[in-house]
Amino acid sequence: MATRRTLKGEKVTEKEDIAAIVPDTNPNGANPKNDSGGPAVPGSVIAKLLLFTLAMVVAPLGSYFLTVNAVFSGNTTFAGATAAVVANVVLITYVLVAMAEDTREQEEAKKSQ
Amino acid sequence: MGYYYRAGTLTTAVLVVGAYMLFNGEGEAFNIGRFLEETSPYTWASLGVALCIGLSVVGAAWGIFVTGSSIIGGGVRAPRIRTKNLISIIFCEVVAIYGVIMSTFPLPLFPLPPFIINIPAGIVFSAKLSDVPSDALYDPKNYYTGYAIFWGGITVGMCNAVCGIAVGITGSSAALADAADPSLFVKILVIEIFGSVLGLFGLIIGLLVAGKAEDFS
Repeated sequence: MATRRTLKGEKVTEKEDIAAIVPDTNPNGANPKNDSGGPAVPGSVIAKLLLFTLAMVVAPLGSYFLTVNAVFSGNTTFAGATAAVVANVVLITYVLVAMAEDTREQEEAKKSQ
Repeated sequence: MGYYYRAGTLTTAVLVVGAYMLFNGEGEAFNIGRFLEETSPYTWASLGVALCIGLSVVGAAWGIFVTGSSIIGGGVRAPRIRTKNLISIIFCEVVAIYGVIMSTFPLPLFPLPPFIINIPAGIVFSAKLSDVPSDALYDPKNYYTGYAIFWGGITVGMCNAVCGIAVGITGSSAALADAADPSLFVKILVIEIFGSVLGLFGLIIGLLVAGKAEDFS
């Protein structure tokens, strides 16, 4: 281990560095649960990710099969384009949901201050 | 150096076998035209479908693992994983969905409502695959369909692979920038959106190429 640090002085500064960083990891009134060893990722975030992942698979393929014969009478090019558009709609919805959540959290942080 | 050694060995082996066949009156075995004529159009079509979905998933997976590791790394500095931080993951996912839309889908596994009962067993590329009697298979139209699906599949696959990597690396930067300064996130997200549009270009070209080709008949 050529790169291993053995000097005592360096170790102390490393610890000091960490100590300097740790209080800073909680900016803008983030969830204090994180520091007490609770879940760092809220359940609602995971639920949203799973929901949108499912929608990302089901919505484009579903819209393809719903429209290929009923709307475009067998033209796979248009139905494929529709599926691509629907995939992007799901993507944009996720971005909007994330932005809404972000602004709501910022407002709550302002109120609590 | 190791690559030169292997390439030299391979070249020598090919030259020895080729010279042996040439001097024994079997040189006509190297016949590209015959190879193209005798290769089944199904081979080209299936290779195209496989490369399309395979390369797309490679790009998406590559992007997700680059982004994911950076989200974890940024979490050390700022342990607040919100929906915002996971946008990059969805961006990478959409690349894989482009590949699925273009390439393949197995037979419907569930009973379907009557108005879509005549569903083709496949999406854009694999919808064109159908059973053809062997005497009717080697036909110019079928050759064209095979080649169109092969090169269309490579177009979509390569575009999506590179797009997935681009989105992944940008998403990784977005995660780290957000950990350092949350106000930077939206700015990098805009660049990420531009990256994700690149995959759409490949998808459009793939749709146009496949649109010209008729089903196997």
